[in-house]
Amino acid sequence: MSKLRRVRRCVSVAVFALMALVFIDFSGWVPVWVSDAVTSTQVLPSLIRLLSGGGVLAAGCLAVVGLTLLFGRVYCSVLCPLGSLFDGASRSRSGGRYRFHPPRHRLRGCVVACLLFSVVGGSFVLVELFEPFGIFGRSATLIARPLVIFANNGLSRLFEMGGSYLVSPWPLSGVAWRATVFAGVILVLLVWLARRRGRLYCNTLCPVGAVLGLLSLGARHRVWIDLSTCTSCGRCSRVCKAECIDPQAMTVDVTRCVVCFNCLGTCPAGSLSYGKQPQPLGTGGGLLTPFSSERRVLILSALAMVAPGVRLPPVHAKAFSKPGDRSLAPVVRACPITPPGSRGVDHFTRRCISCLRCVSACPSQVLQPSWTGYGLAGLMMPSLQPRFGYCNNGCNLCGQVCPTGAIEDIPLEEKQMTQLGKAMFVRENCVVVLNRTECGACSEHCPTKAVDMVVEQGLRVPVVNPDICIGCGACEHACPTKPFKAIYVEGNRVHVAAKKTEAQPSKPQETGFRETTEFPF
Amino acid sequence: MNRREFIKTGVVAGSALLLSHPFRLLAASEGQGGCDLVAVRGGGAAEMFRRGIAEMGGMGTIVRSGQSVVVKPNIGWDTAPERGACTNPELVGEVVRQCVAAGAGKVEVLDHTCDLWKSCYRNSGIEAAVKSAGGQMVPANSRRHYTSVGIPAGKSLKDAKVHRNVLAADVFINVPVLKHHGSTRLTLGMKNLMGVVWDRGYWHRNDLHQCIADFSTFMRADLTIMDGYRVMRTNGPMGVSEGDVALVKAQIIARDPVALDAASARMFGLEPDDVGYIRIADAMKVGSKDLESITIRKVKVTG
Repeated sequence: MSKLRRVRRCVSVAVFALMALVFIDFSGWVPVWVSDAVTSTQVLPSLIRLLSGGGVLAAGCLAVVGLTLLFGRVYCSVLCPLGSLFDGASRSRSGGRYRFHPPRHRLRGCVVACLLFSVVGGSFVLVELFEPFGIFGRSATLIARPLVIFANNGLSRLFEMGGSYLVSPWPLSGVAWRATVFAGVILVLLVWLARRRGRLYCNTLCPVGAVLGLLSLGARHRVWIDLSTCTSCGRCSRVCKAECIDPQAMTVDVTRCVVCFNCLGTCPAGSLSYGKQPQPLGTGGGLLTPFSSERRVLILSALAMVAPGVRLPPVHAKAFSKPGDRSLAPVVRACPITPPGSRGVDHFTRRCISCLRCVSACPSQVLQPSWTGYGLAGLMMPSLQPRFGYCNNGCNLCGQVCPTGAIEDIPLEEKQMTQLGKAMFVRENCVVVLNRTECGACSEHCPTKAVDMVVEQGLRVPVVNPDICIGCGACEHACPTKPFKAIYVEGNRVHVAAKKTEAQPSKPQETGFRETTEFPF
Repeated sequence: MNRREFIKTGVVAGSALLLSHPFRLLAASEGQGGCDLVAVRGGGAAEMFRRGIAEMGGMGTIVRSGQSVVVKPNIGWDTAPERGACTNPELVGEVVRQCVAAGAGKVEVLDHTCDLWKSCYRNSGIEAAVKSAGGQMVPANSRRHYTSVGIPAGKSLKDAKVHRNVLAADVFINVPVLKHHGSTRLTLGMKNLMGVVWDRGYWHRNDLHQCIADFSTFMRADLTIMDGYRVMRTNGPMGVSEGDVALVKAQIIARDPVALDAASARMFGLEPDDVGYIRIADAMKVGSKDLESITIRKVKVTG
């Protein structure tokens, strides 16, 4: 094995492991700075940061551009976690399985054009389908992370059987099934493709690969063939997962070469080397487009455009009423609740790439991938979904770890005074009104007492003060009514500042509290 | 347990404690047991417990050597001890310490929290206090920890999923904190038992007061210790700020959960009949809310 190849492998395994750890860590063990450092290496998140104001973390994409101009697409071999995943997936197959395929420049062009078109049109849907970091993040968050949690909980159970509480259980409050199935199907398809054709996705559909491919036309160092010694035996071509070495023409297509160095050690004549090419040659094969690639892209993009338009019934409506369930007024959230720091729906959906880093970091599990909550603007973008939990008042992790800045890292004090939405009381669903018995679960959980209980005909009924409500969703989560909640949070399109809970000096008397120093019995 | 036994176990198990506080030896020897309820005022939470439990006859009357103990404080909220939303950590620590000193085989502490359980355990200060006292924090937020039981005497609550460690324990000690509550008016001892069941939503849907009383027909703590050191006067049960809390410096200890809740309600400023579940539990003969009919020992701690 060539030395370069060994180094490439070690670094990519390390980066992949770190990236996976960041997404899978469910206990908050990995420090935020590690998460930020690792995700800042990714092109698209860092580019979004750059375009929306910069910051240290925005330097990542500039570094990648520099790296590519110097060394070619090392990003795709070393820093891209999805690329490393593909390499791992295709590794188990024996060598000699690849053969040269002509490039699909037009398809790649179409993908990039479609993406730009949709982004300018205000939708990240296509980016979500094709961008590698997001695909990796969703796979890790929705598939790998729950599996690790199940394993942890099994281990915890084993320990407990032995009387030890060394391993803590981590109760999952639910699974966002539609998003998980969606992410799973994409992952399975891509892994299958990788096992069959190596880096085909990277060199046809991946927008990052397309851009870095163009940049690498100017790379100083590249893999090149010494024409004077090459015998066109094709051994290099058989191990090239990018399928970019044409042994007949004795060319390496640098736009597709991911600089994995797999070919270097295979040449019996030693004709392959990596470095400065003495006489730079043009990239071959640009004119060959055997498949009707444009049509495929059109079909894919049409699907992507149509899918979010199909509005499925909202979360609440799918619960079916059982005998005894009495809250029958349907509750439909018109506007999703966006995470604290995201400023509002528009600010958020223009920057979020649905990598779900926030979802994987959220300790209360209230952040979940939405399905069609954002409509066309973003399939799978995270929103607060109180049926899974409620936003922890003392936590602003999502803003700290967001790779794109879609969720800004606002101070905890500001977060605690930011109104993401307002609680809406649905009187006809409330236990107190329906059954004439006390409940108060909503008010119990309210961190600001925006939901307070007020005596009405001898019973205590919830009353909402929307000015001091922060939209955390605790009331909705706690509300016990079935099938529909009697209180829910309607998201604010634009976040506003909540008013401070006023000290109410007259209130303690209302509760019946009396200051005593003796024994009142 | 007679007085001699008490002194024997007390001296053997708690000699270090007693020696470090010589005046308490006097208090302990004064403690006759034989009273139904002890109310203590004026000291620190742990100090009041040391005095109060001695008046009850000592921890040795509750916990015997080798027994397994579960202590159930209120750890429902991810708040600091100063907010008064959770049981005073010093008190919980002292209860655990005394159980260990009485020879308990193991002392486990748990609560099915409302907020994130690890944060609640940590930020309430209870985890640290329990660990240093020789107890074990036990998780209670996974369904697999719960076992279904029938509640034959229940009217609204016919069955419930109860934490299996509580069901398996030889001794169960309930350590609630005295708080205002938005709907039931007060969070007291019987209501604190909601923290050993899985599905609290069912209680809220099906007459909360009745369910609380129903469950107390099934789950009876061997000892209940009401923490009234900090009392949440308003905005309960979680509170909004430290401004909701008054420093009352009270503690009530009893075996009868209804009497304990009745006395605690008085301590807050309400009548026992103001709290629905006290009325219902009394009518269901879980215990007696009539504070005139029981023996109450009142202890004032000064300095």
